[in-house]
Amino acid sequence: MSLDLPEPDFSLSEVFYLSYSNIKRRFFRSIITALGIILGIAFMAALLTNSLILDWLQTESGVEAYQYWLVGISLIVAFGGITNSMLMAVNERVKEIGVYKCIGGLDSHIVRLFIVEALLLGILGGFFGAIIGIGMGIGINLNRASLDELTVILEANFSTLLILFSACILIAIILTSLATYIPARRASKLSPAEALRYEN
Amino acid sequence: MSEDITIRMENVVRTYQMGTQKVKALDGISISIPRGEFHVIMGPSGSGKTTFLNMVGALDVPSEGEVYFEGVPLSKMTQKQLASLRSYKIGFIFQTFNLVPVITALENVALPLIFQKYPRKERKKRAEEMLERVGLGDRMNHTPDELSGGQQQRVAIARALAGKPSLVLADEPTGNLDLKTGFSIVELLREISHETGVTVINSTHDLKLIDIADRISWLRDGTITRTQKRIDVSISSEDVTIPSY
Repeated sequence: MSLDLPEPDFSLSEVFYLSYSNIKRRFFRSIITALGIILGIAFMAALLTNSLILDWLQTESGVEAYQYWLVGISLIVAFGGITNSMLMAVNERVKEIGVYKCIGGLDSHIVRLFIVEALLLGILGGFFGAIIGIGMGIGINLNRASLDELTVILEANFSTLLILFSACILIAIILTSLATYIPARRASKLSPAEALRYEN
Repeated sequence: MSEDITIRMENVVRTYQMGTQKVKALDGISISIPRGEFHVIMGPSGSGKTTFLNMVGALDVPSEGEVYFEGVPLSKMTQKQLASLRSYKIGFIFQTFNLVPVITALENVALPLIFQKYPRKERKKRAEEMLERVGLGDRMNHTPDELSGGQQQRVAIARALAGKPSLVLADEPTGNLDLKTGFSIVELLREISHETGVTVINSTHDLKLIDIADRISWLRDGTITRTQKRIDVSISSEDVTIPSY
C-alpha cells in the first residue's frame, strides 16, 4: 500500500537562484564570511608569490622550508575562520531548514542549498583573495628589485602566476565547501519537527 | 471507503525524554477526520497540540500507535515517501509564519511547487492566482519583512494551498496576530477549504474559533477528552468575546 507520489525534486538552477538571493539579501553577513576567506587566501597567495619571485630573482635566501610552514598555517587559519562563519550561517537558518522539509525537501536538498552558497562565496573569496595576495607578494619585493626588473620577470613567468591564481580559487572553493558540508549535513539530519522547534 | 477519511489515528502515544524523566506529550490519541472537514483542536498551551499536528503531518514519529493518511500507515513509509507526502498532500501554516525571509511573497508561494516539478511559468501563474485569492495581489513582489503579520500569514496560507494538498495543518495560526486580524485569517482559511474541499486541522487555545469549526476536539494533557460537532457545543462565541467599546 502506498500513495504512489513522485519523489520531490530540487533542480540546480532553482538552488542557484535561492543561494544568490540569500547572499544578496544577507549581504553584510556574506561580506563577513567572504572576508574570512579573502584574508586566508590572500595570506597564502602572498607567501607563495613572494617565494616564487625570490626563486626567479635567484637570491640565495634559504627561507623556503620556513615559507611552506607559514603557508600551512595560513591554510589552517583560513579553514578555522571559514568553518566558524559557515557554522553560524547554518545555525541561524535551522528553522528555515524545517520549512524546506515541510514542503518536501530531502536531506540531500538541504545540503545542496548550502553547498551551492558556499561555492559562490568560495569563488568570490578566492578571486579577490588571490588578487590581493599576489599583489602584496609582488609589492613586498619592490625593495629587492626595481619595478622594471620585476615586470620583466613577471611577464616571463606569467603562466606560473596564472596557475597560482587558479590554485588559490580552487583551494578557497574546497575549504569553503568542506567547512559548510559538515554543519549542513548535521542540520539536514534533524527531523522536521526538531528543526522547526530550534531556537537560536 | 478509506479514502474518505483523510486522517485516522490509532492509540498514538508520543513520549519525550526530559533528562531522566519521561514525559508523555500525547497519551493514546484515537481519532478519524473525514475529508473536507474543518477540524479544530482546542487546548491550553502544553496540552500537546503541536505534537499532535507533528504526528499528523509526518514531521515526527509516534512512540506507539499508528497514523493513517488516506488509509496508508505512515510507519510503513520511507523517509523519501514521507517527504513526497508532505510535498504533494500536506500544507503547513505556523504560528510564526515561517516564510523564507530572503525571497518575495510570490517566490515563497511558488517554493513548494519547485519540489513538485512545476514548470517555471505555471509555477508563477499558480502563485499569482493564490496570492490574488488571499487578497495580496498588489503585494506580490514584497519580501516578508515588508509585510505585516496578517499579510505574512496570508502568504503562508497561499503557500500551504499552492501545491493542491488534501490536508492543511494550521498550528495556532492566529497566535501572533491581533484578534481582528487573527479572525480574518481563519475565516479566509475556512472559505478556501470549503471552496476546494481540502481538510483542515487547526489547533488553537482561542475559544472564539469554535464558530469556524465543523467539529472540535478538546485536548488536555495529551488526551482528547471529547470530540463534538459545533452544534453540540453549548457555549456561544459571544460568551468568550471581549465586547468592543
